[in-house]
Amino acid sequence: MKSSYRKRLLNAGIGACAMVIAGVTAAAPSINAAAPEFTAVDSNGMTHSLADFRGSAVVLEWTNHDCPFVVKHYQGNMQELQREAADEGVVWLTVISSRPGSQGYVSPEEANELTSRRNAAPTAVLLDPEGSIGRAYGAQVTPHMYVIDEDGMLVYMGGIDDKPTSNPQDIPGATPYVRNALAALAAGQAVDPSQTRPYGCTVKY
Amino acid sequence: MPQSRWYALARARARTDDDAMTIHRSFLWVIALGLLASADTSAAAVDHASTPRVEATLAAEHGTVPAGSRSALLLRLHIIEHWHTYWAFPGESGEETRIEFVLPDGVEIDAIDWPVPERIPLGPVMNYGYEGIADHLLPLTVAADLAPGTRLPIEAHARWLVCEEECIPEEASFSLTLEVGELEPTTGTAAAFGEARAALPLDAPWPLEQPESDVLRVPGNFDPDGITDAYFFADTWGRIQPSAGQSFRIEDGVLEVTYTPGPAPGPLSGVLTLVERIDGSEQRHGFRFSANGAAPAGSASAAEAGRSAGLGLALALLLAFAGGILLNLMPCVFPVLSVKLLALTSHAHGDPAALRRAGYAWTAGVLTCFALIGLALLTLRAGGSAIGWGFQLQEPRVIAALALLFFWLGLALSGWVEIGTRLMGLAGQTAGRGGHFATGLLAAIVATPCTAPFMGAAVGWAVLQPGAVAMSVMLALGAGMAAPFLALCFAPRLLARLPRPGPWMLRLKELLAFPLYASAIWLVWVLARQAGPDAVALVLGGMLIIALAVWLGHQTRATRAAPAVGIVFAAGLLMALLPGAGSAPGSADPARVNATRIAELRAAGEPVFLNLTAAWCVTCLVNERVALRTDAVQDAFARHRITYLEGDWTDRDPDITALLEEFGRAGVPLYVIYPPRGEPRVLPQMLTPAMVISALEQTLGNSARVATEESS
Repeated sequence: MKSSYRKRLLNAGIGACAMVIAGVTAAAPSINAAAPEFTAVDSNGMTHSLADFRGSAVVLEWTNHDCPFVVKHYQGNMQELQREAADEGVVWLTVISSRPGSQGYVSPEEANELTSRRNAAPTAVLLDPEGSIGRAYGAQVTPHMYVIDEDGMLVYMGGIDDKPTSNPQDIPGATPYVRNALAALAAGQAVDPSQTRPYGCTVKY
Repeated sequence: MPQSRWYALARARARTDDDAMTIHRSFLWVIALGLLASADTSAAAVDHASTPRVEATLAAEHGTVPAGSRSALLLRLHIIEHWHTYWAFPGESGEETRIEFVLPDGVEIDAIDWPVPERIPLGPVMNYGYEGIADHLLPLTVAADLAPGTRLPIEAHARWLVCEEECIPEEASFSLTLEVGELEPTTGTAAAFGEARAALPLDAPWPLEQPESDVLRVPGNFDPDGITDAYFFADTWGRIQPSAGQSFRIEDGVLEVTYTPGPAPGPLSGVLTLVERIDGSEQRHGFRFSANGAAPAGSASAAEAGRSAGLGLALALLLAFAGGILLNLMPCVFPVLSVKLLALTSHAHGDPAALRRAGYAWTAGVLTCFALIGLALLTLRAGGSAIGWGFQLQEPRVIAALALLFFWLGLALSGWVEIGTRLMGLAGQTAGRGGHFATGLLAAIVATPCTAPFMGAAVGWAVLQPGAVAMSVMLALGAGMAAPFLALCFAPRLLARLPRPGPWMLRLKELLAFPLYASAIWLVWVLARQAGPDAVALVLGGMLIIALAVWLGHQTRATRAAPAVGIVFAAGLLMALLPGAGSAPGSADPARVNATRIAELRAAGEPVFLNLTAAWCVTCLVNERVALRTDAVQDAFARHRITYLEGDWTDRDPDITALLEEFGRAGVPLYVIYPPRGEPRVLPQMLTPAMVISALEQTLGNSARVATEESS
């Protein structure tokens, strides 16, 4: 009896610890609550804060250029979305949270070279080698997508679409959640779904 | 009229010898093509592909499948160290392995049956997947309206994401060709299919309750001290946050798992894994829960694949029957049978009805013994013991008892034991039906050490079949063994043709004692290998007691009770003192033979010759003596830089049983040449030096050439 009680206590302890750790590492923000504030330096050395963009919708895109899921969408789909967003006046922030030495980590020059080579059109590429923005948003994968409205409220988080594969052929038939979210924002409607399954490679914190 | 002219021409030409030659030659071509086609079929039931991080194999469980039956395919990924692929729901990152098929009409393949996943944490993210080997079972159905001989080409394209920290998408294409026909397992795949099935979760026998948004409850009868871990792998995104961890407790036998709900709570489905502490070791089991609490369909059905079909049972029965007849000539049985026969000849002119009754009783005795052995085998297998045919000889107590039995039978034939007259049936008509039944039983018992070594391959197949089939084959073997004697009982005239009784019968009987003594020596030697010198001393002591009892019986002119008491005493003593199976001193052999070791050697580029043998397997010992240990073969081994592995199945060994099953065998001997790459080659069960050497040349010569081509 005694030993079983001790074991139960131990199990409860381990469980509690696991949850505390998980809470620290993957604190996902809430939909329709204020998006976590941050300040970061971009690949051109400019400093940006989320607060600077009040009045515009903001898209956060976590990326790692060698991740197959990122490669899938950078065959045209991601660039197209970035241009559509730019046309609507939406700010697009690409975030790189790979720690130095891990896959996807790039120097500012390499980040710019990737942007021009891939003909990408983000507003800025934010360098987050410490992973502080990533952890604040609970970003788990690349690409993990977030949409923030003009008032700084988080209105969407999750996958770029509903086909969690690395196969580019799955893009045409997929439901483009991020595009739909931006369209709903532009039309003054509620974003639905507001939270979907993020898919991709692990963010290399 | 071109048609009739052709016909006339054909008739005219058909008369010439030349034409006969042509016909003959084309007939040969047809046979050759047929052989090629059949070789092609078996080769096409397995296809391999290599990517930088994965060795992939797509295999069909059966190369030929009957119309209207079920079988399975297996996509097995051998993943390099530290990398992993993903479960149906990959967790917080990653992507599940997928496979797409282009199928011929009449073939359907169901969704993947996923093995129990592992937790693979990557930083703050939790993934669900597999390291080492990832198996994907694919249940396959063949329509009932397909004609035998129809070829079924299957094209498959598999994609998987393989990750360490980085992820690489890989893909491979496979082509298989199955054929509609008698169900035939694909050589060398049985073990993989067995492992894949063993790794599947079981359908949970309990309901799943969700009393709160962060608690799941399983009302079973769980032991709070026996379960050391519980984890629920939800198979739908958003139900449970995988990275958030889970805790569990067991109260009043009810398991409760507390978790952090994900962003899309709802009814749970997925796999519950329990780690149980059993006898000091931890075992992990997976239990599948579907969304509505009921077990999902189509999961266990794959295990039944191949069992529904006919299996060429008729052929197996026929072979077993013929084998049974052959058993009568084996050194263990022949003396007993001969003496029994001699007894009958002296009564050849007796009552035919009584003779027939004797035949029936003998047959019943033989069949009873075979049925009991079959029953024991099936019971042990059902209990999960890794055993195959010959299992009865893996038990030292059985070997010891048989050694004593043979010694005593030898004494009986030598004329020392009176009891022999009764049991051997020499009393003929005076021996009642019980006596004949007992002799039948005895003959079958003494046949067992011979059945295992000589009939291993044939009976081995039967043993792997479902209960009813295995039992029918065992009984067919018994029927075959009883048949010649039964036939003689029904044909007194045939019996009359046997030589007239006379004093020569006594000489022959005494002479026939010696094969029995020899059998006893052999069994003692096997025992020495199994259980060491102490056991040998014990069994020889038992023989001493038997001899003493027999002598005392003669001195006191006592009835046959004295020797009987002696034997019972000796046997009881032995059983009490002998160690059980598996406790042999030799079982801690440092050079264990198993599939992993073979794979390692092959990966290192070393060809392997595998010899699976047992001390009680006479065929094995003969092969070793006349072929494997000869200078010529040893030289060939050296020339090909062969690593020679000898797996000893004298005692139970699950690793060796697994290797045997991989090649569809349930017993030794088994000889396999493994080239460093390519398909292993199985040699026949009877070896000659020339056969071994030429097989080495063919198999390794080829692989050497392949290696040069690749390097150039």
